[in-house]
Amino acid sequence: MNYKIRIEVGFAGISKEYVGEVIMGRKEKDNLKRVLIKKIENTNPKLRDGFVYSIDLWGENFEHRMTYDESNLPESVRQWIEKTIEKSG
Amino acid sequence: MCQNHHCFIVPPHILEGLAKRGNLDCKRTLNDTYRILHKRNTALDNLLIRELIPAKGDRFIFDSQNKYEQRVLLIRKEKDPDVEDRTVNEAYDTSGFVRAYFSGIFGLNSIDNEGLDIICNVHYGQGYNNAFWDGDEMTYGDGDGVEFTNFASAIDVVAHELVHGITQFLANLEYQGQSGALNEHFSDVFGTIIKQKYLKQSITEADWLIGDTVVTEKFPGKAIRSMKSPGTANDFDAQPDHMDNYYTGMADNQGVHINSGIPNKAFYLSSIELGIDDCALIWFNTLKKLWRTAKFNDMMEISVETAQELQKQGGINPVASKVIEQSFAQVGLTQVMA
Repeated sequence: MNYKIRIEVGFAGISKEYVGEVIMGRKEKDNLKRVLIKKIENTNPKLRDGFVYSIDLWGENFEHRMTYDESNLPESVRQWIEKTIEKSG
Repeated sequence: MCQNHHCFIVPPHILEGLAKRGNLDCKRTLNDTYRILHKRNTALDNLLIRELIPAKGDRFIFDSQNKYEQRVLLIRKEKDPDVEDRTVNEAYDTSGFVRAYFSGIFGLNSIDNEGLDIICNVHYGQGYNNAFWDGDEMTYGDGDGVEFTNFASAIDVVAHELVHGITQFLANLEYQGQSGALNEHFSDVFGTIIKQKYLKQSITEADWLIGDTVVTEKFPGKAIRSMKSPGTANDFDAQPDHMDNYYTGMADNQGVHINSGIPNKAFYLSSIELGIDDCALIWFNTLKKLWRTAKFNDMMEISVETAQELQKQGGINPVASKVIEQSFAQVGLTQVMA
C-alpha cells in the first residue's frame, strides 16, 4: 500500500512529509482501514500549536484520506505512523 | 439568527463590525458568546472525564510517562519542594515565572484572570517534538534528542504556550489566517519579553530568538523563529518580515506560524525605539481590545490607539504611538485614510 503522511503546524511550524510504500499483513491492513474510515469525533477548536496529521493511503482497491489533530488521533493510527516513519528511515 | 444551532440576537458580523469601530461591549459579547457556547458544549464531557480541582491559579505538574496522555501522574503541585525529575522542576519554575510576570505587571490572576490552575504535562509521548496548549492546559514533549530537546525547560516556549491560554480568554483570536498569525504573534511577543526578563537581559543584549534552547546542534538553524530577522532562524524558516512577502497558501492553518513574522518584526522595531516595558504595556492592552476575527490592520490601528491613550495618561513614552505607526509602516502596514 502507498502512503503519504504529512505532519504540520506544531510549535515550530515545520511541516514534515513522508511518502513511500508499506507492506502490511492482511489483518494489520484491515485493522487500520477499520480505524481510518471511522468518523472523527471530538475535534478541539481550542488547540494551539498542536500537530495536524494528514494521511493518504492508496492501492489495492483502497484509497483513503484522513486528517487528525492532536486531540483525536487514534492510538493505533499514531502507532502505525511512528512505525511507518521509522521504517522509512 | 441561527448558524449551526448557534443563535444570536444581533448577527455576529454586525457585532464584529461594531467591535472594529471600538465598541468594547460588542467585542466582549462576541468573545463571550463563542466562549460560552464552547464551555457549554464541553462542560459535561469535562465533568465526566476530569477530576475537579479547586481553581487558585496553582501549578500542577503531571508526568505523562512517555504516553500520549495527559494528567497521567501528578508529580509536583503548588508549594511542593523540588522533586528528582529536573524537567518537572523546570516546568514548575518557568510556569511560575510567567504567572508572576503577568500578575506583577498587569494584575492578571493566572491565565483567565479568574485563577485558572496552571496544568503542565511533561514527558508527553516518545521523542515528541512539540509543545501545545489545548484550551485547558499545557503539554510538552522531551524532543527526539536528534533535532529537538526538552520543550518544558525553555522559558520562551513555556511563556508562548501559556500566552495562548491568555489570548484565548482575552481576545479568543481565531486560529487561522491573519487572526491566527496574531494569536501566534502575541505568544511570541510575550515569549520573548519574558525570556529577556528571566535572563535579566537588556534589549541590546537579547538575541530575540524563539526556541533557541530546544534545538540541538544537528538542527539546521539556531532557533525556531527570530523576532529581529524573521525568516533567518533556520533552513525551514519561511517567515516574511514585510507584507510584500505575505504567505497566501493553505498550509499551517493559512500560515499562522509564517505570517506572524510580519507583526513580530514590527514589535521588534517598536521595542528598539521605546524599550520593552512600554511595548509590553501597549501590546497587552491591545490584546484586551482585539476580537476573534481581528486582522493585521486592526492590530495596527488598535495598538496605535492604545498607545495614544496610554500617552495621555502619562504612563509611556510620549512618542510611542508615532513609533508604533512607523514600525508597522516599515513592515508594509499603514493606516487607511478615512
